[in-house]
Amino acid sequence: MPPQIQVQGVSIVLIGSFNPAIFQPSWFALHNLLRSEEADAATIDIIHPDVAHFKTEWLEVNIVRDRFQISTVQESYYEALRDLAVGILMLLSHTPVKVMGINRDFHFDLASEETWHALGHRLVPKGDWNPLLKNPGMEALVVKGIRPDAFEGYIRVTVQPSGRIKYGVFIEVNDHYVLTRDEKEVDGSDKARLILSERWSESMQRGSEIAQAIAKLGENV
Amino acid sequence: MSITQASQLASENVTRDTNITSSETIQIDRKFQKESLLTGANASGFNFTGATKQIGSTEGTHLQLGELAFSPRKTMPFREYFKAIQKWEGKVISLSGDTFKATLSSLVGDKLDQEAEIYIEDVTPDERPYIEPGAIFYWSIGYLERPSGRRRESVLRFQRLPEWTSGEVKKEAPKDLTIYFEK
Amino acid sequence: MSSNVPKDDELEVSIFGPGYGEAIALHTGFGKWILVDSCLQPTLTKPAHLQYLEDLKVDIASAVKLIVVTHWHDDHIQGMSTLVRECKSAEIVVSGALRSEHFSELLRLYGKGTFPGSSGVTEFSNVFRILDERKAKGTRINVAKLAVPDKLLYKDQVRLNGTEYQVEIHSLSPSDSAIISAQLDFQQRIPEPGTHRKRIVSPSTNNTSVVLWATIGDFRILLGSDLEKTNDPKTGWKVIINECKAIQGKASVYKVAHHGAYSSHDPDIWRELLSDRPIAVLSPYMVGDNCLPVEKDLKRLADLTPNAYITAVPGKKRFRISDRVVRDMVESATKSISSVNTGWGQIRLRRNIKDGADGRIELFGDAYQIVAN
Repeated sequence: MPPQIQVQGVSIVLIGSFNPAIFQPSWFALHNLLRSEEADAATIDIIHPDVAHFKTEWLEVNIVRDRFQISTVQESYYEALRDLAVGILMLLSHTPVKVMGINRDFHFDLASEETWHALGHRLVPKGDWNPLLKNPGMEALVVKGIRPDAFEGYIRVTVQPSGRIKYGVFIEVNDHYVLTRDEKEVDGSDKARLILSERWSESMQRGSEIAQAIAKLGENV
Repeated sequence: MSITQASQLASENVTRDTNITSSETIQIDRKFQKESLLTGANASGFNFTGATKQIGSTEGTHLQLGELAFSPRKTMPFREYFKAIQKWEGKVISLSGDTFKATLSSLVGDKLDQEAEIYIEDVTPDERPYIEPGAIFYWSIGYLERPSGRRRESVLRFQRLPEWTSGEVKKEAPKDLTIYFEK
Repeated sequence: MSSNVPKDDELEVSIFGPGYGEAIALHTGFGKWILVDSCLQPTLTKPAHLQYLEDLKVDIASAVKLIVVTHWHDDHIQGMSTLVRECKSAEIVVSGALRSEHFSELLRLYGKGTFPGSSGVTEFSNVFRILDERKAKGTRINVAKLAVPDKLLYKDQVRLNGTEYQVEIHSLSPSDSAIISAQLDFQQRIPEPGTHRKRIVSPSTNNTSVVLWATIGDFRILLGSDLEKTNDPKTGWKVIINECKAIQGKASVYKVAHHGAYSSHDPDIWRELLSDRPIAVLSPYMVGDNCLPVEKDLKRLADLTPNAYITAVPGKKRFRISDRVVRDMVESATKSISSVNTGWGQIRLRRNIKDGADGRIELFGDAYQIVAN
């Protein structure tokens, strides 16, 4: 049986300079980025000048001074997540944003211990490890590749045994874009918006294809 | 506070009052972070925010949070997540009476474009002002998986972006298009 | 589909559709091509005529000499920026109505990543971005031509057996009056502060669209775009019929305007501009309340010429959803659901440039001949 996706999610990460205190649910509602009812029902863990973290029914917001992350595991809201990022970038167009990541993560159920081990062996052959460690097992693999387009950045894939599913594998595809290297450049948020508007489908598909291909590697070994 | 207690707080997102002073929470997180760095506790399945990330990393940190650093085979169920069977991006063409017509471009599922006449009552009341020609919405149909079980769900949500501002649409001198055309 | 390229001395006219519009490819001899508009074949991401040329192993970067964009809105230009980027040797022609302060404003507001998802304005924004890139590199073709009445857009010669045959493409529209009224239309589309963002809706009238008159040797082709008839003698078909000087002789091939709609049917087109029993080609359009051509349109075409062809069967088909869960949910939420652009076809005419020998019409996919009942 092919690997089954049990859970999947999308996150958008921006590295730049942020003021976490402003990212309250009510701010999102005020600017039409969330419904008022969603904002009112949000579960707030903390809103502080150094960190903001809250959740709604479908959204998780995690912001510190140099890192902004929004994420969802509801497939029906992937485009809404993108729109949220675009909307925030529109409102804060002068916020310095240097780097952006569009991430897809998956927990695959491999259904059997045999396939689970086979995938680990395939990704990290144990031959060279056996003389060095007793019963070695793969805990994490990170592989990075150059971008297939004209943007600066990379594609990084992380594979780990799943923390959610017995005999499952967690795969994250980090689609990393470098927006600007110049500290003084302020058009990083414009570039981020352009990428989110024009490259979203491509990024989503690439992440899905990479993850599916890796998850299948444990089959027929 | 023990590491186990700290990790539980970090991962279970304990509901707190709005704007609680954060010092306690931050202390918890920093302790946990420090502990995980010292012990190299990036064990199977664990991936704590910032702990083992490179500076400037844009990898997400939401989906693999768990307690695996401390019990490798314990699995942690999700509260709920949605799995789409079919998803469309829709564009409103016209309104008439109790329905609106829209084109539907497939994002997940059956690939061909459709055109539907949708009942307005299937749109959440506070989103009905969005129903205008040209408006974009997303319509997903699938299963919502919850600890209490699985149920069918249909989610129709209009695209939300900041409204046009007077600063954006002010009649400043537009870009000179003549540069794109032969003299 | 036949995969053989036209011969050097062969003319070809191909129309592809539907796909929220149509696309046309002209071969004018010796491997030179002209492309008009752009549409995507269902489930594919490349413009239909571009894919066709690639399948024929044509070197797109050098063989395509002219691209004409007859509209500015969605249904005729999906994939246009891809076309412009790939066809590096092609001059670009757009409607004269677009050289406009208000259109520029629309590009600024709706282009360039301010609004996720594609639209005609986004495609244009991308086309102009490509022109900017070309300017920066010093590439020769870095501006577009503007189509206005009687403008010579393209000229070439084909030499066959010692005889030269002229190739000329003229634009016949938009008229001055249409250009002026387009400015008001563009201005009205500029959003008001405090309103929701949404996509630009295609205009209901198409008076800014570009009608083309192509002459290859003694063979003439009228590409009617979406131009409609109007009561104003200074817009629509009347001004073309009465005032255009580029029209010499009569066309033997007519790309029927606006998907055969009655709103675009002017009997004077057939009387004054077309030869007897011309070849008439069109593609259907099925979006929203527009479902063109209707039965009466097909009958009218069949009565006007026995040589009428359409790329696919018009009309919407009720959509049968394969997944049971989706079907149940959709049926409870909708009054109706139908498939759009369910068919796909190509009509291809080829004939010898010199003497019209070997003239033949080939139909691919769902294309068929319209016959009188």
